[in-house]
Amino acid sequence: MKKRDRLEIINDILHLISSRDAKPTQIMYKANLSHEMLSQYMNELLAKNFIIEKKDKKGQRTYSLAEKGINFLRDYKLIKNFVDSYGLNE
Amino acid sequence: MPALYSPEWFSGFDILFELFFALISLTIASFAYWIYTKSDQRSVKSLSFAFLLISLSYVARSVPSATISLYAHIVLFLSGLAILVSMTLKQKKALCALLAITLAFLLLFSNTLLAYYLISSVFLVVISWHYIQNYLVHRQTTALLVALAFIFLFFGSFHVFMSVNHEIFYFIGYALDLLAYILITVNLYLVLKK
Repeated sequence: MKKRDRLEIINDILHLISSRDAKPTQIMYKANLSHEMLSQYMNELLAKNFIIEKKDKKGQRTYSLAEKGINFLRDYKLIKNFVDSYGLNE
Repeated sequence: MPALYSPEWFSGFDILFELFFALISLTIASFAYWIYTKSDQRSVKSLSFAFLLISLSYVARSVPSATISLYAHIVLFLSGLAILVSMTLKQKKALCALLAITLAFLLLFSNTLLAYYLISSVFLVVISWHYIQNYLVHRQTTALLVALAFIFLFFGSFHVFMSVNHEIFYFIGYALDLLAYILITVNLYLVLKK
């Protein structure tokens, strides 16, 4: 299986959250990430306003898409094509 | 510093070429910045800034018969290339070192113009190598076009470096650059079309 690059992982996470609000464990298993990688990506996505963190009555965290995240998913193909053509994967 | 030797029959056309290169570079810079606002990828922002400097360098060079404009072109163009090289090296501190080495080279070399072509040729070799490797990883037409564009830019720069006093070679240098920017434009078209 081809190793996913950073953009592909972000796309997978946002795609998961786009269908419905998701808990960290759900994202971790469905996006096939380690706990450490998940924390790293979620912190980055929160800091960059791609996602919104919410807490339910039990204090459990769930994530939903912010406007920037929706825009990213809409333009993902274009972003990926451009980034790949110039080898800009981080 | 000796002025760039433009053949009489090519005079005026070279300005048109430079303005075309400036327009294409500015388009890439603007599009990359738009991609940055969507993706928040720092490398895309750096690419945007690099192409903006390259675009400004061509605008500066298009100003006829002004030594200051030639110096501005050299500084802006090499700064743009230095950003692209530092991106390929993936080292944050590399940019400062590259700019310092470039400046030292330009100041110490008695012939600034030859130093400029030499440094830009070295930078373009490194950048071209990075884009060739990128093509080998992705095997996409768009990646190949970018790699070929920078190879043409290298030959355009190296060509002028090797033959600064020959009219036809001067023109060939511009023609190779034109081919490079046409490939960059085709790449952008394919990225948008896909």
